[in-house]
Amino acid sequence: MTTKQQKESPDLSVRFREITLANPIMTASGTCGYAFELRDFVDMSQLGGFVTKSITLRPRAGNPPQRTYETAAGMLNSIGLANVGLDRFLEEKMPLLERMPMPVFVNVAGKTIDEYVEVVHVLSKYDTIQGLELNISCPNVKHGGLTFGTDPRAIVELVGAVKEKCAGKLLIVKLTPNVTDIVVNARAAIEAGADVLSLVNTFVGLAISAEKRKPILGNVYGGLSGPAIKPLALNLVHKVYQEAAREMKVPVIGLGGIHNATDALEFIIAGASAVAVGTQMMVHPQCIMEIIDGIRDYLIRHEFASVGELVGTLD
Amino acid sequence: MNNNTPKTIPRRGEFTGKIVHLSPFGTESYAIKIELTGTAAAVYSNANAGQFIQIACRDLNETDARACQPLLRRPLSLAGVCNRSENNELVEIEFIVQVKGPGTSWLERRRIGEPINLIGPLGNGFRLMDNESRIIIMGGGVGLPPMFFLADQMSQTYVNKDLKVISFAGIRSRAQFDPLMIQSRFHTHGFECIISTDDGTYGHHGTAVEAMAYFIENHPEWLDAQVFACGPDGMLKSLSKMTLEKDMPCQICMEAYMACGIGLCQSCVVPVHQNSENTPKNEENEPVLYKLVCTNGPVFDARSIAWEDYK
Repeated sequence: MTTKQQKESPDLSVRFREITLANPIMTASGTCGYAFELRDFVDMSQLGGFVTKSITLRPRAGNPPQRTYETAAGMLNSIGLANVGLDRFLEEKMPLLERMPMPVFVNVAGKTIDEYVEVVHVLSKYDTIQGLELNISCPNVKHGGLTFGTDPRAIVELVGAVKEKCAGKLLIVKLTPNVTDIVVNARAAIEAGADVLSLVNTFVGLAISAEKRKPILGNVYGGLSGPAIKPLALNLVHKVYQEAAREMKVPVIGLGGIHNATDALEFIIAGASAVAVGTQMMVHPQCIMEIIDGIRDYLIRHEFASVGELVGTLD
Repeated sequence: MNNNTPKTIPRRGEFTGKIVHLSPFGTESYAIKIELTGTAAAVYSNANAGQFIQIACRDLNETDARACQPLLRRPLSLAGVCNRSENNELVEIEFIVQVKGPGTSWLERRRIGEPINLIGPLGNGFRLMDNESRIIIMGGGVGLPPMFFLADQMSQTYVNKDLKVISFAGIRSRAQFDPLMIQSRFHTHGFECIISTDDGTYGHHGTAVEAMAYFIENHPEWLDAQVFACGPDGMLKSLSKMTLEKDMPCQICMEAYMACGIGLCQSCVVPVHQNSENTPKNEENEPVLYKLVCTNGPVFDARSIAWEDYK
């Protein structure tokens, strides 16, 4: 790199409280396992931050197959939070995550507030973990299985309880789009102590086999991801940024169908401080390098000194 | 992707190859050969039968999402790996593809010389024990191509041994795969091949498992054989039942709906028997354990699959 280029090279870093990401590209929970699965295909250390698959207190086998289905420009999944559980996560996955140079965030899921709190409490003791992301799109078994994330009161209760036990770790709350007014839930999460919001999780969908007159997925319903949801996700990121996150000074991680650098830039312009790539990582893991380079090129071309200057610049 | 050969050969990777052959393999199917060089060639020269690749059925350089269909890669079993040079610098890999949807028909429309992006080789292949005296190979439908590769590898592995091999091929109809082309893949190694068709358009009218049961009944010395199979769930289920009853060792290569192929998405699960305390329980508190076809398989011991939990 020449001196001239160095001078012109824009600042790609992102600050989440005291944590610095080298660039705004992260992974979407559940799409990149525990990172080491991808080591033969892409240099994961290039990422700004890594978000693990959801961890629950006990191991979960997950839903009966079929678990995924390709749709027009998208993918439905109903994995059912299949994961090894907290104990085996600490034993088997943590040693590998410890070697990662970038900030690592562990996504946490649970059936009750107590379960979330217990997992968060244990994970907060580890220096390797820079922060926790709460998956609040899980059924709350004590309240008839209605998901935590659709009820602002449940969000306040859950986020508040976790905040007390997270030992000051960065707390990211991942919002579900399957609600009437996502802004109400965003405010609830922030007021209860969320340091960062990530949105959106998948949109609930259904795939039917007309020949068999049966649902295609073993769990009937699934979550839709991929390019098909990008306009929907962009709209919600913009709304949350405009109506809650900006004034409350909480950064947003934007995700939903990001495929290339242009998609990532659109989310940043809509109000996201960082972005996460999910479904595309399963198809083309090298995309993270292309996205980072594309963002840098754009900032140079449009004479932005930093990616932060671009956040929320929609005219 | 950089295809220069490094000092250590990686196990797998994302590589771009070039189509060097495309020809019909029956009215509904075609054979495609992809040429690999450098690291990719070295990597694939170590591939085993039963392993698969995830192939991008679109141009990955096209980043506009409106032009990126189909979104997901398609898993295809290796049907053969052929070294074109002495030091693994040029390798041809082969796939036999049945046209089923947008991905497989996109591939069929390619021309010789066009680039193809692939991730692989993935999964664990068949394990050859080197103590077999008789081997039964069974392949059904799109599960046949990996058995062509297995026959090639057996022929190389057991070159000087007195090994007896018979193969049973099951296809829906002679339109699916050309029966003569199937047979030639086994005959070339001196292996017998018995074809069954569901519609009776060629060979035995019925299933390959029925044909094998009939054969063993008349040739009980084959009860000592090791069985290697790949095919649809129905075939593998009835074959597993039969080999269990007859106490014949059997390795099966399974298919499942798959998104990533590398253990990320957790889609391609099969229920397996498990008795340890750590086994996850379902809502009825019954132990259920799934294994991933992509990383734990696709080849499993037939006895390990919990067919009773299999839908």
